[in-house]
Amino acid sequence: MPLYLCSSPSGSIPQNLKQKISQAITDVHCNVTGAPSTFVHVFFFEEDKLQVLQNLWGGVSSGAQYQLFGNIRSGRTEETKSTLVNGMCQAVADVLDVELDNVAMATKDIEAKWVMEGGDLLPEPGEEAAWLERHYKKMEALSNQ
Amino acid sequence: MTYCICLIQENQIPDSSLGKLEVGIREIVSKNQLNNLSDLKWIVIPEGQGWTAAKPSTSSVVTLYTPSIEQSVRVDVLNSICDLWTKTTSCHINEIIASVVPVN
Repeated sequence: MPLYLCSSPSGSIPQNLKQKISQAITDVHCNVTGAPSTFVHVFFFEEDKLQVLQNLWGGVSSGAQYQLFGNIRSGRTEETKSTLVNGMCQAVADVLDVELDNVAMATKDIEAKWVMEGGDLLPEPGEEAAWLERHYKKMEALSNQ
Repeated sequence: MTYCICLIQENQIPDSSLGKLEVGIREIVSKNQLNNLSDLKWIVIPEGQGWTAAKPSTSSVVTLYTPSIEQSVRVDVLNSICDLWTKTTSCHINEIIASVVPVN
């Protein structure tokens, strides 16, 4: 977590740009929130999959061609979320070389305590450094067993 | 109502393991008295479509939607899902992201 879902018309994003988009989304998320990149998942879907994803896809109320939906940990301020949304839409538009209004985005808050990653409940926003330190020690201990 | 959505990466989990995972999830739901599992959807992320830390992803994302439950029960369920995944698929613990979300 976060999990960013990207929807686009079938075949509209060349494969070589998907890594660039995932990097751009990861960079914006990490720069804005300070979270480590290992938390950031970006999955691409073509628009015909949206029905199946209905429960994960909170929906973007826009007819934009390229849509992003982020399941992010709750606790972020509205200002932070706005910075995330604006930054990611701009970054994706830049990679695709399209006008900004072709990209839309929405987010949904998920409680950190609802999610387990790496075998541990996710930290609350701002507590990542201590969590990672504990997690790496745990992984090191496991690998030494 | 309890239901589950599993996002998995293409070619990451053998088809032969999917049945075991489904049985395991049903057992976890039953053991923790989360009502019957009404639906379980597998969504396969085609190769080249899933990225973690901007690198090709090997992660599974399992989201279980349940009635409202105590956090202690949620933690038991989350640990059980992670154990199920690592034992059945031999994935690393860092490759399973599990969430238990209350149904609105």
